[in-house]
Amino acid sequence: MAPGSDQPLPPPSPEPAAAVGQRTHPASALVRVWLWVAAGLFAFGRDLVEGGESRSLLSMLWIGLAIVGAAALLGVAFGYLSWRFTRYFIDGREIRIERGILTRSSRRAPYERIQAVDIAEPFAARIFRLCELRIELAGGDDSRVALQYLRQSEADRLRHLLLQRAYEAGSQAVRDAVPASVAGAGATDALGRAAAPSLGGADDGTAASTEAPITVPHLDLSPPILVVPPLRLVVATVVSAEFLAPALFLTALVVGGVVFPGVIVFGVVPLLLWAGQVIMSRVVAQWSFTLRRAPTGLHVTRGLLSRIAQTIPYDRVQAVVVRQAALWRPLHLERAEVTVAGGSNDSDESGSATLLPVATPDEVRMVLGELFTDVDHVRIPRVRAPRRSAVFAPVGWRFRSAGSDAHAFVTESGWIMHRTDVVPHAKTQSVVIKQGPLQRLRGVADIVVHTPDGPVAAHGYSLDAADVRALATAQLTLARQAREERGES
Amino acid sequence: MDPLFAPPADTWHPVSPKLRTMHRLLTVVWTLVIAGVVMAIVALTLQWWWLVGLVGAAAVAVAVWGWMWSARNQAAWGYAENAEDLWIRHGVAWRQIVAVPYGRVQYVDVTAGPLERSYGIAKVSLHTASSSTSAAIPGVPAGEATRLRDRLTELGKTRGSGI
Repeated sequence: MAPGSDQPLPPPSPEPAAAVGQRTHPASALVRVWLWVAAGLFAFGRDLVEGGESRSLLSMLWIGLAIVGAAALLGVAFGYLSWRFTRYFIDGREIRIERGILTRSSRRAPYERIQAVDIAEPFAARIFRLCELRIELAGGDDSRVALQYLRQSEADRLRHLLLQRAYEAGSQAVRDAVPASVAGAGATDALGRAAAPSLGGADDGTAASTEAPITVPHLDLSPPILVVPPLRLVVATVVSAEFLAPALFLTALVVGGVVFPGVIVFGVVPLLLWAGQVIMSRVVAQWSFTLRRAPTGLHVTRGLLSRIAQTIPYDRVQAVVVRQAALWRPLHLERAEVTVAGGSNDSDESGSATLLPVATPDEVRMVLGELFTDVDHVRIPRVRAPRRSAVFAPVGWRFRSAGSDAHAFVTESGWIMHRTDVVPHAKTQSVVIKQGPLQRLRGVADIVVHTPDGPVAAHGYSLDAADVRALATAQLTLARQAREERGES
Repeated sequence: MDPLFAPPADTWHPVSPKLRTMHRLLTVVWTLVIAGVVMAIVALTLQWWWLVGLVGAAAVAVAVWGWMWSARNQAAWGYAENAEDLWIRHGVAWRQIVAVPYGRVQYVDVTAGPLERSYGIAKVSLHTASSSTSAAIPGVPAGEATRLRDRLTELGKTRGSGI
C-alpha cells in the first residue's frame, strides 16, 4: 500500500469543477451487501428455528434462497442509491462529503484542521480492491471524516493532495512535523521530531519550504521504522496465557472425551470460540504490524483480512505500559500499549491503543524514544520494594519498583504478568500516597501517579515509606517543571 | 506525626468540626433506628428478650464506636494549599494523600446536601483528566468552600494546560 515514496509528486492538478463534486468508486455500492445477506441469513435461521419442522427440505431450501436473494437485491439497490447520492467536493478551503438519500448530510474537513489522513482497507472493501480514506481532524467531537470507498491509486492521490493542502493551509500539526518528514528516510532522530513543535515549528516549516518548492513538503509515508514479523507474532501468541488457557482446556476436554466416551463434550464450542477470538485479535488483526513516522504521530498499519491504518498522535499520547508475561520472558518479548487522551482514533476501548503487539525490549525502547523525547524507561533509576514488604507479595515483591529521572516516572510490578508503566512528567495528573494499617506496621506505602483513563496505571506497590514520600514530592516538582518547559503553565 | 503523612508546608488545614457532629448524628440516629426496628420485631414475634438485649447492646456499641470514629475521621481530613498544588489527606487506618497540581484541575464541584447545608458545610471535589483522581474535601465551611472553588478555578485557568 505504500505509494512509491521516491517518485516526485505530481504538480497540484487542477480539480474538476467543485460545484459538481466527485463520486466514489461505483463498486462501493457492493461493499456493504454482505451485511444485508447476513441479515437475510439470520432471518432465515430464526424462521427455521421457530417453525421449520413442518416443511420439507426442498421448500426450506427455496425459502432460504428467496430470503437471501431478496436481501442481497435490497442491499445492492440500497448500496447503489447511497453511492449515487454520495459526492465529495474539494475546493480552496475544505473537502466536503455529502451523502444521504432522504436525509442529506454534509461533512466538512477544513484543511487547516487536518491532523492526519489514513488509508484503511476493511476486508469487505479489500475484496473489491477498494479502500477507505479517513481524515482525522483536530478538536471537536466530529474528529473523523471517512470517504468510502476509493480505488487505491485514487486514495493515494487524494491523501497526497489533502496533506499538501493541509500544509499550505498552515495546519499547525502538519506544519510542525514537516521537518522530520522532509529529513525523512529514517535519518531524523526523536529529537528532531519532538523539538519542532516546542521550539518554533513555524520557522522550521518555512525553512523547509524555502529549500524546495511548495510541493516538496514530503508528506509521504516514510519507510517503516518497525515491522513485526508474522512468525514472531504467531510464536508469541502460541506461548501466551490467553491462548494456552483455552488450548489446554480444549485438550483436557478432548482427552476426557476419548477416555470416558460417555462424557458430553459440552465446553468445546465456547472454548473454540475463545481460542479463535484470541487468534483473531492477536494474530490476524496484528498481522504485518508496521510502524512509521507520520507528520502528526506514529502511523500504524496492521491486519491480515482488514488492513487498518491509524495514527497515534504524538501530542495526545499520555503514558505507556509495557507488559511482559512470564512465558515471554525467556523469549525476550514485550507488548506495549498507550493511553491516548480524547482519542477518537481506532482504539480498542476508549483511550487505549496498541503501540506494539510483540517486540523486543530494544524495539520498545526505540519506539518509546519516538513518542517521548529523551525517555528511556530502562535507564531510569528505581527504588525497589524492601524485603520487609514480602508479606504482601511473597514472590512479587522482587519485581516491584518505582523511580523517576528528569523526563519520566516509571513503576514496575507483577510477577506472572510483569508490567512497566511509564509516565512522562508533563502528563502527570495527580499523585497519591496510600498506606494501609498492615503496610504501616511494615513501614511501606504505595505511590500512584494518575494519568487519563486508559491501560496505564502507574502504581508502585509497598515501597519504603520514606522513598515514597520523596518520590511523590519530587514528582510534583518534576511535573511542574516539565509543564513549564512545554510552555503550558 | 508520621513523616509519610506530614504536611507539605507547615500544617494541614483542618476541616470543620461540624463534619464530626454531622457524622455522629448520622451514625447514632441510624443505629438507633435500625436497632429499634430489629428489637421491636424480635420482641413482638419471637419474644426472645435476651436477643433484644443483645441487639440493644450491639447498637450501643456501634453508636459509641461511631461516635469515636467520627472524631478520628474528622481529625484525619486535612488539606494544604501549596504554591503549585493542593494536597488532601484523609483516612485513619487506610491513610491517603492526594496531591493535585493546580494546572491539572479541570473543574471544581461544590456539593452540599440538606443536612450539610443545615450545618453550613459543603464538599469540594476536584476533577482532573484522570477519573481515578479522587480528590474531594468534605466538611469545608460554606464560605471557605466557595473561596476554595474560586481560587482553584482561577489557578486552574492561569496555570491550566491541555491534557
